Amino acid sequence: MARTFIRIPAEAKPGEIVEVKAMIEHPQHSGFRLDHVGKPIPRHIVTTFTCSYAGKEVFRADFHPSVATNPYVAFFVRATAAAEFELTWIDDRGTVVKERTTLNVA
Amino acid sequence: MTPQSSRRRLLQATASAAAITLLPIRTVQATPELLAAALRETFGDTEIRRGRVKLDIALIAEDGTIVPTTITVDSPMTETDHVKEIHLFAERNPLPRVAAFHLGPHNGRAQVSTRIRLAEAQRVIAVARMNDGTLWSDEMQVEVSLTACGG
Repeated sequence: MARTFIRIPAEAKPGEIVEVKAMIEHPQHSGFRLDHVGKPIPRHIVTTFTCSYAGKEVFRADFHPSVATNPYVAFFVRATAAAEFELTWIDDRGTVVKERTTLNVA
Repeated sequence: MTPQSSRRRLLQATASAAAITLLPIRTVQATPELLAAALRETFGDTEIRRGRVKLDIALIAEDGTIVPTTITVDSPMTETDHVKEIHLFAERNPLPRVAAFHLGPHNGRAQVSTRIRLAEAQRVIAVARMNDGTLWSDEMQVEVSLTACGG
């Protein structure tokens, strides 16, 4: 379904701190707004984002309706070894979106 | 029926109609009390001290539907001394809770950026929970040119 945009460096030195930027295309309907005929638009939001590195969770975000459309988050991770990043978004309708990318550490 | 009483009834009806129209707006606005309740629910009675946290938002947000926000915590992010959680609250949004971020020593740097909605000019608060259980915070009064509600 949703398009994702992620930015993680392809390479890093051991111990280097790399920035991870992640965004997903999502309406993030807060549930407080009305449509053009005055009917409430049901809530539809991404509630959880997780990032795992080398199989271990290194970052998690809980989003509420006050997070803007197309939820974006940027954070840091210390590169320890060449390993895979797995980013996961879950919305309140149970939709799960995963992205994977490998970081080379040398 | 006298003209007097029908006029009175009309006025009463108008007044109650106005009250009904206003009601939904009032119920979807958080208050300082709701924020206090959310803080208590998340942190219990633990004292929240000012300091160590830097909340970075433009003083005047152009567009309340998308407000870039960065939280930086002064922490070495080691096994023995690191940030465990960062919680973000907005005092006058329909719900005071905005987001929570879970971190650890593997992050190396305690900094998180995101983009939030602000329904109107208000106080935004960031609270960090350290691994020793202490709570540190920063807050900002943000003005909003174009608000995130009413569309």
